[in-house]
Amino acid sequence: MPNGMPSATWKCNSERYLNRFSQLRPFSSSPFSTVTSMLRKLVSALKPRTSSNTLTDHTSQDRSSGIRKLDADVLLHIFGFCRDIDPVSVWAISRTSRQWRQLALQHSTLWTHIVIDRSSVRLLGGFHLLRWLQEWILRSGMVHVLDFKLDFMDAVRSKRGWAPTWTEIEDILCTTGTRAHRWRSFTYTLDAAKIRPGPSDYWKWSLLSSFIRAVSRLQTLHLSSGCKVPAERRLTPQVFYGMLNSISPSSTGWSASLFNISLEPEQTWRGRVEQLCYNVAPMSSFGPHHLCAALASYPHTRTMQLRGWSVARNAWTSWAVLYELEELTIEPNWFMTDVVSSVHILSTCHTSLDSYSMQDTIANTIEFQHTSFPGEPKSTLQSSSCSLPSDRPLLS
Amino acid sequence: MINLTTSDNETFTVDKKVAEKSVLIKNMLEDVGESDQAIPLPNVTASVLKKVLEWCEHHKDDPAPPENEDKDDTRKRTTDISEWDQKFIAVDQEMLFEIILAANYLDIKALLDVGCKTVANMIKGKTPEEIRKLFNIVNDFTPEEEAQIKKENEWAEDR
Repeated sequence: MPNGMPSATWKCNSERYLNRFSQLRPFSSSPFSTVTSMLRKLVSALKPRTSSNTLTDHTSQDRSSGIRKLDADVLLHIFGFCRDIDPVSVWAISRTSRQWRQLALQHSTLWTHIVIDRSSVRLLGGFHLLRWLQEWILRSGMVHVLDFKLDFMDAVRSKRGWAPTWTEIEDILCTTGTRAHRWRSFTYTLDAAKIRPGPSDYWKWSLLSSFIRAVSRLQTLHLSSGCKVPAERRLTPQVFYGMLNSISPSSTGWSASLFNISLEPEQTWRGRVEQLCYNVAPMSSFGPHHLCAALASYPHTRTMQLRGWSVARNAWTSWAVLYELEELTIEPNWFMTDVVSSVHILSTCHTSLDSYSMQDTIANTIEFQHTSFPGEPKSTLQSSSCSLPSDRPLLS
Repeated sequence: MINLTTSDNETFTVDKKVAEKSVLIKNMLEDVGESDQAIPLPNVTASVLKKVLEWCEHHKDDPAPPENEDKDDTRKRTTDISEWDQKFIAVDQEMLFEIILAANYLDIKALLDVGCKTVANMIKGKTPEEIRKLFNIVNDFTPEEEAQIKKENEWAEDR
């Protein structure tokens, strides 16, 4: 909890907020409104139809519609792909026709991928973002694992664009946090420079922290941060990463992808991360030995991908021992040269150069020397088909 | 070789390996054993079967899909369609849905996926009204249901 916060207020706000976030109810769910709605439906069914779209008309018109020939199972199969291709399209499906709506609402698995980004906000609106997020979560049922993607990286702070405030981001994170026990994958990307100002409630942080303790099924984490650090302490991906660190999720064998997230060696995860993708941002203050020390906290990683570089240099040196690394993919640059020369790999590891952002193609096999422990298997570094600019030095 | 008879009484003679891409036909062959008699396919017309067999011929050497692939129906599946399949499925809507129906009936999962992914791609990014227009679906919500949906979504439309 942040210093100087009155605990009574925090408790009061926290309880109010906990109720608000965790008691997600469908709209108009009171007994009175349900009865009213049923009566309306009954009266409507008894009344002769006056609308131009009568049921008979629909049937005759729909006969010409090929998609009507598909049975519910096939339609659900299509809707499943809709969810995988573009999760927001499930919302449109639920408003297309009676049959489609029924199918969509009856199958909560269709609502398990939840995306908040520029395109979903364009379709669903940004003013009542929390309401449709809550409705979406409700439709996902009670048991299925959830894939959340909160992508504010391409928010646009202009009259026509959309950019959330810090307050909205805290609310969104708290709302998704109410289902932390169901997170299977969580993506949170943000460029602080594009976020609008807004008051911050630190008790929401504490609340989110308490929600996050329930994380147990997380398999994939993707956190990405822009280079600008907000002047005040905000719930950035960096802070979020710190919160997750404190709980050491029990799920094993999962993957983490981190872009411009500073890793403090003593703060890195104790959970068993099998795949790690780490991207260093040029403007970060994160030097090679800093990264190396952080990697030491992931000794059982099997697949590692390291990209990027920064101008930062560390005065101190550090070593990392990776016991089970099988595949290492690195971007060939001086930064990563420093990193790999300080990493001991105690298993046979296939190492590749990453052709990411490179131009000229070369085909090469390079061997490099790194300090080895006695009896340590020697790793080979292979660049079977990578690209390198001619003016950039290769690994020495 | 295997003989297949369509609903419009046309008979196709195809290689057993090609025909066995259909789990339905494969099971029938296993049940009936070696026979010269044609296998009737009462739910498939000749024009559609011709297309389906073209797909089976091209994919006859593909490995069989894993049986428990779709056990977890919340898991995100691959939505890529190969270049050849994209060209194959570039047909009019009627034929597309006939292929999907035939793939479902004949139990050819990979072909069913290609058809369903194609329809899903057509739905992508569209509003309900655009989807209705695309597939000639009539808005059959009663005015009350319409009002309910509108009420549910009023925050979404208020933008």
